[in-house]
Amino acid sequence: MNTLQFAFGFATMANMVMRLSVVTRMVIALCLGMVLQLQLAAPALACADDAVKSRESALVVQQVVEDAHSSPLNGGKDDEAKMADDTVKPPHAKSQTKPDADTSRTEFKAGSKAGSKEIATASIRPRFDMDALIARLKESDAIGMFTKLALRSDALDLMDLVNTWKHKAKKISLQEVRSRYDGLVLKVLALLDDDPALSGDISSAREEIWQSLLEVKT
Amino acid sequence: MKTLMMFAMLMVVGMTPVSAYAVTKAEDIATTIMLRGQPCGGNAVSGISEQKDAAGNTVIKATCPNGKRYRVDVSASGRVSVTPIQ
Repeated sequence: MNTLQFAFGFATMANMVMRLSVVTRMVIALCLGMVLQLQLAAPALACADDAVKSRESALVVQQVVEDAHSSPLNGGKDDEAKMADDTVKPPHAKSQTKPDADTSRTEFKAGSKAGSKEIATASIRPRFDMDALIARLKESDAIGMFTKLALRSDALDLMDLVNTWKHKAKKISLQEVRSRYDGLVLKVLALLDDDPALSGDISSAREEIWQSLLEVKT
Repeated sequence: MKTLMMFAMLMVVGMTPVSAYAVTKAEDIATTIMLRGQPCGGNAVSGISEQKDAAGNTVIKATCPNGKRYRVDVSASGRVSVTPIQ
């Protein structure tokens, strides 16, 4: 039924177009084509936005799950042992409650820290892939060739600064290096205004990139 | 029939995907100048001249919308520097 309706509509439109002048027909055809292109491109852009949003929401969900796992349950065993020790002591009704609360709180904190460490190592985090980000940046149409070369020069200068800081050749603080790094990242993000997916990925991987920069062997 | 064929072809031409953010050379050079902290007064330069030497170094001269003329040196190793031309 939809095919029939489409065919009927197309035939009606063709009949109307045939009665117009040649120039008008050309203009209408170009406009229709551009409208169709935009309609086809809109889902792709929406998908890109959805991909970024879903990744962010996945990270948030993961954080919530990690927080949930670092719960009082992890400190349960230590609490039980403490309770057993407390029963041996002469019972004092009032004093028993406070020490129990304090010890249970400290045990809870220790247990939750231990639990969260275990969860952190076992948790599945989105892997940071520097090579993929670099490849995407090289291929991005949002930045021109000369601009990419200028950013590359800035990145090499930053690497030299990091090496200078590591070898303590000059009095440079880590804060200065970090501020240069933040400036370069801001430049890149500003230039990637037309590539929001890549911009979002670089922004979310900011700290990992910084750590990898410091870990580069000289 | 011919008219219909032309109509369909023009629709296809209109549908040709054009990159929404393709950067022109003039915009690229202007952005490079601004990245080096030099005022340019606009998004695109004009009067672009480009020369390459035997060593593979490229020298680009361009005029910004604010009237200032700059020289962009791109070395063979990919290092970029911008100097104003007086």
